[in-house]
Amino acid sequence: MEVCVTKIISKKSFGYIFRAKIIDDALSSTIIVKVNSKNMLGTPSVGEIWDVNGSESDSKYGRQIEPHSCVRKLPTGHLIRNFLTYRCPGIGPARAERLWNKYDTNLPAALTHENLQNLAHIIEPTRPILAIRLASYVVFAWQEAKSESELVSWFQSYGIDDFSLVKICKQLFAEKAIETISTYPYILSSMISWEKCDSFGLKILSEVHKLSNPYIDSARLLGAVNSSLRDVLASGNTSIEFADLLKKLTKKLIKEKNYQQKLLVTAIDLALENHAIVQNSDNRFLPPGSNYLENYVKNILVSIYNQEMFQFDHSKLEQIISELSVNNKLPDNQQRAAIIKSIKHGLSCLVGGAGTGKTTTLRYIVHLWKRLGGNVLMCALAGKAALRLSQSTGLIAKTLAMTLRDLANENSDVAINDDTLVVIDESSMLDLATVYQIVKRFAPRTKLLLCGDSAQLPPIGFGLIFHRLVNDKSITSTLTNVYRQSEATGIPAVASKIRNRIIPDFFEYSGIGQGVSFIETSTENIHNIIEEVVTDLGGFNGDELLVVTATNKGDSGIENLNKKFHMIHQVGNDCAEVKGFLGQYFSENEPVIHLRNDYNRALFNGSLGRVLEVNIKENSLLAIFDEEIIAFEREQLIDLALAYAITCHKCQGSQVRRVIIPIFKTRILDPSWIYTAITRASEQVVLVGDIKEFCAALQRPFAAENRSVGFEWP
Amino acid sequence: MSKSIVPEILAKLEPYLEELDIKYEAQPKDKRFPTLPFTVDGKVNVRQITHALGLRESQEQHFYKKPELAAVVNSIARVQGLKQIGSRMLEESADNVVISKIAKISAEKNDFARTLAAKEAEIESLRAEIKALKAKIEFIETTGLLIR
Repeated sequence: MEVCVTKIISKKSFGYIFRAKIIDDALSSTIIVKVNSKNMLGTPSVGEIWDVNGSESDSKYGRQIEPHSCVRKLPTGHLIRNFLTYRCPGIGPARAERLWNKYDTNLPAALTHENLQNLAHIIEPTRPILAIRLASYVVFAWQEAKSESELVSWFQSYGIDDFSLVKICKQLFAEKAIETISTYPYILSSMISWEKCDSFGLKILSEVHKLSNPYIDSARLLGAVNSSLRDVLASGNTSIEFADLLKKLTKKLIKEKNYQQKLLVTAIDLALENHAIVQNSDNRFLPPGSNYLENYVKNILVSIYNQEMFQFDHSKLEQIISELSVNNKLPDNQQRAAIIKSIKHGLSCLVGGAGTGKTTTLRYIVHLWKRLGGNVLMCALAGKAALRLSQSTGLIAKTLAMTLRDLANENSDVAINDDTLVVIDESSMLDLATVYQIVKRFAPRTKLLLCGDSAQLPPIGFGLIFHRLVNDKSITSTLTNVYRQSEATGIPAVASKIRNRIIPDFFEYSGIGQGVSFIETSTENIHNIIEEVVTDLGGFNGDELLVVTATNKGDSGIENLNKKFHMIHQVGNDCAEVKGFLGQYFSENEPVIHLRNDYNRALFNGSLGRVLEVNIKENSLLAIFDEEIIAFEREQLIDLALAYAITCHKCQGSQVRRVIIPIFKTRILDPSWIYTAITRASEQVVLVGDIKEFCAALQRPFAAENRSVGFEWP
Repeated sequence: MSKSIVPEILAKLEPYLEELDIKYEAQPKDKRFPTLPFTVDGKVNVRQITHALGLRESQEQHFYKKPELAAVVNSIARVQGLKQIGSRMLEESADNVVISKIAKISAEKNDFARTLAAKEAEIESLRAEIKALKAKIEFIETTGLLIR
């Protein structure tokens, strides 16, 4: 239905609530529209017409709709006055009225075709210079709204109802979007799935370009190559072998067998000719975008590596180290060597397993650098890791996202200069795009220290930098002496064996205790055993217990385990629940995880918390994260999920007392996955499932080894 | 642009008028008679002045159209008690000068306004282009893919 916005009731980053009058309604009824930002294109203003589609309901405030699609309509008639008043800076009601009085229903045509001077004269005859500026705002605002409306309708006419795609196309192509996409329909191959893109592209090539055989058109072939590269990057890789590229292209292109070989070879030749793909000296093929990023990052790292070594007085160094020591405990030889290497060299890596004193060593490094006259910028990908870094070093550390935001802000006092040592913790999680963003801000003599554990999982995003750099012994310090976790738990010893692909010795499971145990059972029975173990270990209280599992689906996957434990919680406590999104329900005292970074509320992707109380009426809740109580309104529940069970990537950087790990057949299990999951626990790990699968997983390559990238070091 | 006739005429007129003025002043104060040529109705005789200066008859009009020439003659005419050269034409002429000045300013203003409008449109167009280019760069930096 079409509605006219009469009042904006609530405006949040995740959505809007506004009151509107229903157009074409004899009674001019009003309706409350509660819409998620993901389901709308643009932001509403009073007086605008929106086309809203979704389910209606009655609330205490009246008739209400929660649209799954909410699209602004181009205003017509006298409603254009409202558009001009609210959308065009400096216009206001009086000037909008002048335009309406002059052009009446021809105002849309005038805004498109009229001479700018004439419009200016009508808008503000007494201030000609200002008026011309106002007139140009008006014309461009109208053009923008018109092209947005046309773009939505155009895409809808081809069956594409994807607002995120419309938003991207609007940003990339502005008012030339329809013209550009009509001319090059496979330009969308970088943005949507091949199936959708190809279906759309074939239609355009047939209907608009009038091609009799669009299947062999060069635009389609290039689009298929581009889409294959998109698949490559989605899997974390930045390069692909010829044979694998052919396989991907075969799946995408071959509809008519007669053209099989010709099409594939032509596609690759075309891609090389048009620089849509890069071929390196190893005859691997690389996406040109990520290739550019890798080359850029490499050049910066090489230049940092080639910096002159920092010279300092060794006796002064020893004195400072002694002053920085806590409880007279000095760094051991490994840590000392790591400290000196990091201070001397422009580029260095600090690697070590859990409990080896990485954070302690970092504390020495950063304070030493400051005492030697430098400045330090510390960051980590995850908020929790940044918080731990701050707490242990006594210096401010922020997430990378916040750091990059501060660096881009001219008014911020955060800056990188020639005396800066940039320290990034949990570097195993750094993808190529993130490394690029940070190094492009470096000054010529900035130093970089990457700290992390290369045995952990590779980054979720594409590329691999840290795991490649640590192979260079000249810049890498490795800590192997274990300090944090006491030997009694056995966790460090087990972790170390897994790191070396050796099957560890397990403690016999006997309920709550310490160390690493393995309970063998069939795959079908894993979730039942997990339920028993949870009971043995005292349930999910505070930061005591977490299940880390490899999959979303299946009996031992995240969805099923969270549902199961939610039901057990409900039955046991008879408590109310509120409904979230995607089938999630939340009750008091349940563990939850935040699913995205929200800097305003200091919440991060992976922040673990607990529900304190729920409000059934408002369908909202209060939760506690790191001792802070935070409210979640209905629409914000989309950012929460239950956290009885979470994925290994999400738990990176976290630490709990006990972890339960289901082991079943899945290609996701490899030494780095198991290593990462086990090292989340400080006291006890219980593995449940198939021991043969565990042994098989240990023999698989580490996930990072499987990643095929263009970045090479040294 | 045509060369102005005024300096040429003035070069002859000023000495001529000076001579007439000296002759006028030389007369006894209570018995002074105009030395500037005049008509029976007491107006300055422009035609005679034109002949006296050796100018062509067609150049007589300049005394009515050019305020610089009329002003010089009229300053003598006022002293000698004669009616000044054709006021209305001169007023029109002065108006015309002002009008053409206003028109010129308006035209310049219109030109300026037109240029400003064109520049504003160009600025907005460039802003939109820069925004789109920045979006393309950001797309490459975050996805590793080109847009083609």
